[in-house]
Amino acid sequence: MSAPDSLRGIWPIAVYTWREGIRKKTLIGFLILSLLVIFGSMFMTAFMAGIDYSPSGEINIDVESKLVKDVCVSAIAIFGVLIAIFTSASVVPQELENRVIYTVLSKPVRRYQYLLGKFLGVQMIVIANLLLMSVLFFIALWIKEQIIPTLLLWSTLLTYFQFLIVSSFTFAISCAATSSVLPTIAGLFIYITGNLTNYLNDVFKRSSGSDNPFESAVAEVAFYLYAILPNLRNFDLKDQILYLAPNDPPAGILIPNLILYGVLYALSGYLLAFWLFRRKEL
Amino acid sequence: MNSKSNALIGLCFAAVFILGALQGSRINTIKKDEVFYRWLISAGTQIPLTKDERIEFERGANSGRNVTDPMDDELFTAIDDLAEGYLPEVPIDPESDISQITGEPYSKLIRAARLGSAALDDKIWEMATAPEFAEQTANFHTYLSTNRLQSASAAFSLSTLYQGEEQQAQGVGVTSMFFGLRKVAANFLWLQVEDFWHEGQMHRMVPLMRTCVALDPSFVDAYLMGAWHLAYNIPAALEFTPEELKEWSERRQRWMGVREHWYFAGVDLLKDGAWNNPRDFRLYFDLGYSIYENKLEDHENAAIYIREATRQWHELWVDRMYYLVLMRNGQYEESIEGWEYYMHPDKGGFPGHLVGTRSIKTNKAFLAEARSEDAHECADAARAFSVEAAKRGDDAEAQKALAAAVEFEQLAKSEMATARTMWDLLLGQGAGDTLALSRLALIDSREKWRNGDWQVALGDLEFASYEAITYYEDLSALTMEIKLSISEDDPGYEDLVFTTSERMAIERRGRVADRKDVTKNRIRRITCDYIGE
Amino acid sequence: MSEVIELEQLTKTYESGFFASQDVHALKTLDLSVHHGEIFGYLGPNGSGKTTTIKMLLGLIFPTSGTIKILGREDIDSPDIKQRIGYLPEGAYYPDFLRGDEILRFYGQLYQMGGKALERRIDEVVELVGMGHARRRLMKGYSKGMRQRIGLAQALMSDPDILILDEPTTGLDPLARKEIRDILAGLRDAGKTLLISSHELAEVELISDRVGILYQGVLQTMGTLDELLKDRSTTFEIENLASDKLKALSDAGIDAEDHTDDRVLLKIPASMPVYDAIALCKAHDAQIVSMAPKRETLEELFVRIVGSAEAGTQPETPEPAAAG
Repeated sequence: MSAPDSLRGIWPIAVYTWREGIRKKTLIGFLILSLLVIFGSMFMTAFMAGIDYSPSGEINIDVESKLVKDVCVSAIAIFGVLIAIFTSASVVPQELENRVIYTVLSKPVRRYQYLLGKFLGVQMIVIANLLLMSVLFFIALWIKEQIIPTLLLWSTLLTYFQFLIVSSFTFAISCAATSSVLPTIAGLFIYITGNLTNYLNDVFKRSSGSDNPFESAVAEVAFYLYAILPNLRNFDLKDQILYLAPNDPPAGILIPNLILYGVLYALSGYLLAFWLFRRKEL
Repeated sequence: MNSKSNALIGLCFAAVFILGALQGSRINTIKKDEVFYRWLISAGTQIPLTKDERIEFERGANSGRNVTDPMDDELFTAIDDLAEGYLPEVPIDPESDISQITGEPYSKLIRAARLGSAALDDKIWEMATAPEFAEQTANFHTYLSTNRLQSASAAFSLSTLYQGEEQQAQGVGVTSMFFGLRKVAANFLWLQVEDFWHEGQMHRMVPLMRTCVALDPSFVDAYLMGAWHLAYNIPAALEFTPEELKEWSERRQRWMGVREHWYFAGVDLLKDGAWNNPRDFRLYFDLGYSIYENKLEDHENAAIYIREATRQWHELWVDRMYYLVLMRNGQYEESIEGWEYYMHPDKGGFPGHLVGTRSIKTNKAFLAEARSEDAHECADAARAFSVEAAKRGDDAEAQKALAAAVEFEQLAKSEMATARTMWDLLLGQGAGDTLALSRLALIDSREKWRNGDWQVALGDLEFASYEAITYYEDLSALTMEIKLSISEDDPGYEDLVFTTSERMAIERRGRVADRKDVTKNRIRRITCDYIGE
Repeated sequence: MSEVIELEQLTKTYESGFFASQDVHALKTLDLSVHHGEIFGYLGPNGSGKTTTIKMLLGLIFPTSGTIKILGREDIDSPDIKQRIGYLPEGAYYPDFLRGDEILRFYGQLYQMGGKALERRIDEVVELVGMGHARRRLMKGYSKGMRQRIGLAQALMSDPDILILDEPTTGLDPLARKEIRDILAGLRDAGKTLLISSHELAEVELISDRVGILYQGVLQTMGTLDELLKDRSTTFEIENLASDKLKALSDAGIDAEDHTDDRVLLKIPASMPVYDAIALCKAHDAQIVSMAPKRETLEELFVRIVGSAEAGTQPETPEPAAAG
């Protein structure tokens, strides 16, 4: 066959994972919820009473479209990360449960290839969902004000790399687990922790230099955690992207760096997954 | 063998994870530089807009922490000096890039920040990250974390905009706890603000409005709407403060009543907005037109801010409003120039624009009036000088001054004639051009008064004030001036009849006579040596 | 070469309890070999360690000690060994949303098959397991037997030399069992080596060439069925036998195997000539209703072995024949 030996079987496994994944009820549920929010946001401003009181109608329309954008971008981020967590937490444990993994691994497929296939499949699902939600969001925006904000595409791209980090570590934990419950909880925890990393820095700043040895120890721990844990807030460039001028040098530098950031953590997540799974007794 | 490769993979994982962490610290560095960069841009754009051309302190009435010993200006000046050698040539806009204080062009950094071109932005960004500026960058972050930058201390400035990296020296970065829902929260708070407005709970709107923009500092519409509520809707529900009850505010350089406090609350909110979104024309326009021009009648500041709006990407009506405000500020030449540019067919303008055509004429008439007034002043001064010189016995000087005075009087007359022609033209063109009507009435009455026909003048003025009620104040002011002058100077007219409103106005003026005058911008077009400082 | 699978001193110990304080011995020093071209019945009750052994063969779990050789090689994880093994796990699941041949295509791709070769092979295995009529139907509509056949088909995709089947007939109806059995016999005849683990002894007995019986992680016995089932006896069905007579017969070496109200089943040991037994019965007035020769079944052997293993004694079985 033309594919190199080391890539054997990855693609069929990914496709299989994808085909199975997109049929999941939780996933479809989240998707429907996110669509409700996206289209619902268009009507949210109906609760803004007395639009005719404004000095010029224009401003209120701006507020409305801003609300639609903010709500949709957040909805995509939240539902997208939930989909990423639930999918990555369940693909491997589910195969353990229904024993498909035995038939697959008894074939000439090495474990890292199996994991790569699964991981790839998960990413395909996550990307497809993200794209679907984004497209619908753009449709909603189009209906609302007949524009396609191209800058939002960058925001969507960065959101994906945020998902990628959460997804890869959730996946790693799922490789050590026997059911999908623990990795799902862990994934949510990773997401929450990743969002609160800045808080660790605050803890460090407040506690460092304290005379109390306990406090300074806490500061030390907080500092190191802050230094190594992925900071998911970093991916939140919405301010810069959505509202600032098109030419924004910091955003221009940050975007490729953030992509690299996401890829590095995701790679380490995959390595962790492989490390945990390599000698796992199935 | 197995444990060996196991350890190897473990090591690989650790290595890549650490690489990720290193990349994270790189991103943190970039974000720190970003805060610095944005501070430079904001400071560079805002400094020329302030009276003293410094980073304006105490933005925002509730601007949170008090900064003792602020370092903003010192830091900016140090960076500015370094930047002079670092930045490439930056074009100088003769209209707005000349400092009012020194008369020199602004520094390169300020010009570059104001210009907002992609190439210069890139250059400033390069500068913010350059090793030459490492010391200043470090200083900036030290000041930021030790709370010594007033420009970053407002509750809703950089500290919340950039999710609290270094800024949160004193508190916990609460905003990071919103999980990316910060902006959504701001939106829903805004809906609540609207509700309060419709329920008439204005006192509850203000803190909520501030929270709203604190959560989302790039929520430009919130600043605009908020300032509109603060400067229009809330004062509308309040009483006027009688002039004599107003208090002098050193900070605002103005006599402040209850309403003025709200106007300035709107000003502060918009200034915060402009600091956080230095490239959004709407904030400058509302600051200039809606508040400074319409509410505070501070034409000078209005012109400064609307000019800034026209420097950013803006919509066409901004230009027109700018020329209008220029006229009100007495900058007739600039206004004419603006309109001519606006209507220039070769520059993509609108030839034959109706308002433009009329405005140019109006400006010309005003310009002639102003020149006439200047010439009159010079003539008066020259006459006075001539009398003085005659007293000293310096006849040659006295003669010379007298001749000058006659010349100036001639000039004043001819300028006034020009103005008259122009107003006549306008009055003839547009039926009911009340401005032209009132100006003509003023000119004629003044002339009649000078010729002794003050009774006719008063009659004309009264007639005109019915016809051109919009300009009642100007007309009534002259009426009072004439009446006061006649009743004081002309014997037999001591008990000249004043209307009730005139008496009240005179009384009110008397009560505040000792107050500093918030003068209107006085541009002298005709100068002479006889007018001293 | 005839040793296809060779296990030496294979041991698997699980750690359990807090801080791995307790060891659970799933498999203790197992020596086992499967010859080329035979069907090896790997027997044992649930939890005896059969699946553990099979998972170790497939590299799904790893031995604590001991060696595994497949086709003479120890690197059992390498793709070219796996290429030659087909495996049907117990109770495997196949996704409902796929069609029969889609599943086979998926597994075929894992063998790096593709294009026409893959389609041809799918046609072949589908015919082999008798699923030609249903290959385009969704798994959702498959019966248990059909699913098992698809499972068998996926194991056969690479035309493997070795087939490892874990409980292949469990839960199937008699007809389906028969069909599967026939397929397996056919595969053996085609020169494949089969390792069939089961706890359904009658099934295995019907097709196995050799069996190994595993209990509590220890291989209790191994050999051909002829070697293992040497115990041949005869049973007499006797009517109206008094209890004292029964005792007398028992003293003479004939035990009652079972009895109802008026009938007794007597078991005549193989060592006693049948005519002597008839004479004895006659002497004790025992009316013989019927007599039948009886060969010990695998089940009986199994029960006996397990029973004695539980009692902690050595089973009374002939020594397994030395591996050929």
